[in-house]
Amino acid sequence: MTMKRNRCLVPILAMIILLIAGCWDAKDIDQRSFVMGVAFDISDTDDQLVMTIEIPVLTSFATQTQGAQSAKSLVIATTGTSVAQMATRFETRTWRELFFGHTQCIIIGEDLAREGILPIIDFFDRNPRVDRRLTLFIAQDKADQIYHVKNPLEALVSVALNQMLNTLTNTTRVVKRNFQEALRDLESNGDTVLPRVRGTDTEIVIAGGALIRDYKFTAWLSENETRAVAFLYNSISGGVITANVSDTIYSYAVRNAATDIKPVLKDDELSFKIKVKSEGDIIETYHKGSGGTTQFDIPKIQDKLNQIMADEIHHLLAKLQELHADPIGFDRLVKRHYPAFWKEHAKDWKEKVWPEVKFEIITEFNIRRTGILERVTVYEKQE
Amino acid sequence: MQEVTIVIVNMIMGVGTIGLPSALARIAGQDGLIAFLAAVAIYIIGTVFVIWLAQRFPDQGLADYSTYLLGSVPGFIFNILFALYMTAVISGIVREFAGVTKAFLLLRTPIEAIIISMLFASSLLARNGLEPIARACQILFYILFVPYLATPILLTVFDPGEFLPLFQHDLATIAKAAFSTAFALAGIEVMLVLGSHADNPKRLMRPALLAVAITSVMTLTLIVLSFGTLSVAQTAKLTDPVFEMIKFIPVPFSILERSDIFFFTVWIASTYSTIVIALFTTSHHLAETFKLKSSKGFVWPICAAVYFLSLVPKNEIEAGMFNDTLVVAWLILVYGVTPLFLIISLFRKPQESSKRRKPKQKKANS
Repeated sequence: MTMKRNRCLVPILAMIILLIAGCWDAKDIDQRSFVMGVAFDISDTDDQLVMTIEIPVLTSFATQTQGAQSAKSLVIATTGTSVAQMATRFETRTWRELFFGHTQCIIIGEDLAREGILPIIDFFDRNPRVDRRLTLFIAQDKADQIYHVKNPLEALVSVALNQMLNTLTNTTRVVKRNFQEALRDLESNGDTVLPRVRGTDTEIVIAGGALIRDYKFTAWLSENETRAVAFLYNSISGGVITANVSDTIYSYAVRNAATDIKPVLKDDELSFKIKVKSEGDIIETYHKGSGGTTQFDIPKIQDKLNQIMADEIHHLLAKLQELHADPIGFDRLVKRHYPAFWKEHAKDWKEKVWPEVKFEIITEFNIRRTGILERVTVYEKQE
Repeated sequence: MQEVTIVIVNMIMGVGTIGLPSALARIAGQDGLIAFLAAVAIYIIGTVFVIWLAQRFPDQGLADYSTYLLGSVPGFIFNILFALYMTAVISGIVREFAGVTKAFLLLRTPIEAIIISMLFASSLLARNGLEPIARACQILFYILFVPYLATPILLTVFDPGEFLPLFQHDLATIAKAAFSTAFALAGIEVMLVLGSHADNPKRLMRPALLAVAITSVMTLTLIVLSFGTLSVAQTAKLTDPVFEMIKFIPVPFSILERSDIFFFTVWIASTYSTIVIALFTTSHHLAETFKLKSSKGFVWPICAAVYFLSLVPKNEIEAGMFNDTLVVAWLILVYGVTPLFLIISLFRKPQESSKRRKPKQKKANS
């Protein structure tokens, strides 16, 4: 009886295996348009949005073909009133489904960012396929220009942008903030700092930052201000700081850095103690004058570095207070450490409390090595 | 008793685990952590009630001792209600599983196809009795356990400050969060039916509490990581924060483009084991209720009922409301009916051994 039943079961199971092996969601790679980068602007002619996307031409990567006829990417644009609407409109131009799972960067134009970035990011925040490690940029001027940059070294602008930001070790003048981190800041108090990008005909430059206040672009931050932001965000992983001591420029390569921020509430007066610690090497001494050699004055160079960073951070914080913006999240620290004070002042934090806050900044830069020149390498001026 | 622990862990760890951090953060913010610990305390009390009852009737299943304690007609009605509750629980699990799978993995696949595939695969194992289920659960336990251990080590983004300040919500809010989330740990009630199949039902308490401890630590790990990695605000906003958190595990040499897919596999495996155990429990309980030798014949009808019931909610919001109703039913069962049975059993002393016919089942080995 059991044998008979098994004999019946085998063909049924075989049928099931054959029938359910297929997949409704099967989509071959050539049937998808992988959107590697997206840019948003305001239309020059009306109030509509302009969405520009960069799609790689997969066949050109596969065949390694070169020349004018073998473009590596396709940059197309459409207009509309919402992101989803524009994304759908692209489908009237290509039968391949737009896929945002590999999107590396979203660039928002300066004018549009001034109106607010929240409506733009909602589409990506809501989409489960979007990788939250992508980067949100603010473009100086128009965002779509960035995707039209023809850099002979780079096949895809969006990939180049993301790689640049994630592998930047030679400068501290950008702020590394992925989509998730930016969302975390924005949902906390509506403020953050996003990397600034600008393009020329042949190159893309990521430097400086865009200050976002209440989801709206408010001001550009210079490269030095952005460096201070990077220190306060604790996102420094390298870079060079130059210090001029007795007419000799010392290049200090940051090997590691850590910032600790603590709120202090004394007699109902709020202040923050900011402690920046860094270790690094002197990788160059630059002096134009002729002369002999002298000793490395390590304490003096360290003092200068300490002063430079303390001044930069002071300058940045004064600017942020003036603009009533708190992208670093000092408010979160107050909420965590002094919840009663926070409850009392949460409503007027940005307008009244934040601009009056005092800071104590302690910087501690330590020079560990001076390259392979172990002794004196600086020439003294001969008068 | 190792198998008892593993079966309970597999029953508890299921579909609801991924949404739990979100529910806690939404109701109680950073106090969600306190609420979860309170939920565990509440759950331990429930576990003690269930195991005490199972120990009072070591040779009988729920269907047997409920009729003994309540009388044949009320007992029969209760047994049918319990079977309906279990069917509804499986429907809730299957529906949530299908919803999440559709949203994250199979966008175009009809929800019906996802439900049928899961029920079909689960029923194959559920029809084969407790012994193969326990063996399968042992394998699945290790598949589950390794990623849970590895995730905290691999995640590089974590802000411990996210847990401060604590105790900012009133007690009522924390209690609401605790009771709502205790259901995510639901599963111990299967021991009302399966308790008598343990090798030594008199010694069930230790493995049951050990299972609760293991699942609590595993779930707590996910909550802590979600809060610290994504922030409490983000966790509250996302429907399934654990999947988003997993994406932040850096994969060296680009071995995997999407690390969350690996966690999906683990989650599907844990959901599968929950459904299998629940299906078996329901079918076995019905077999005991109707005094049948085998419970196999009930598995397919239960699957059919589950299929149709799981399609009743029209959307995810209605599915959430359906689950809220189940929370109430679960609270009544574990904290109302079980203590009531315990009290009645003080007056109606258990029989030495059941003379009723029981479906044939091998005892779970120690």
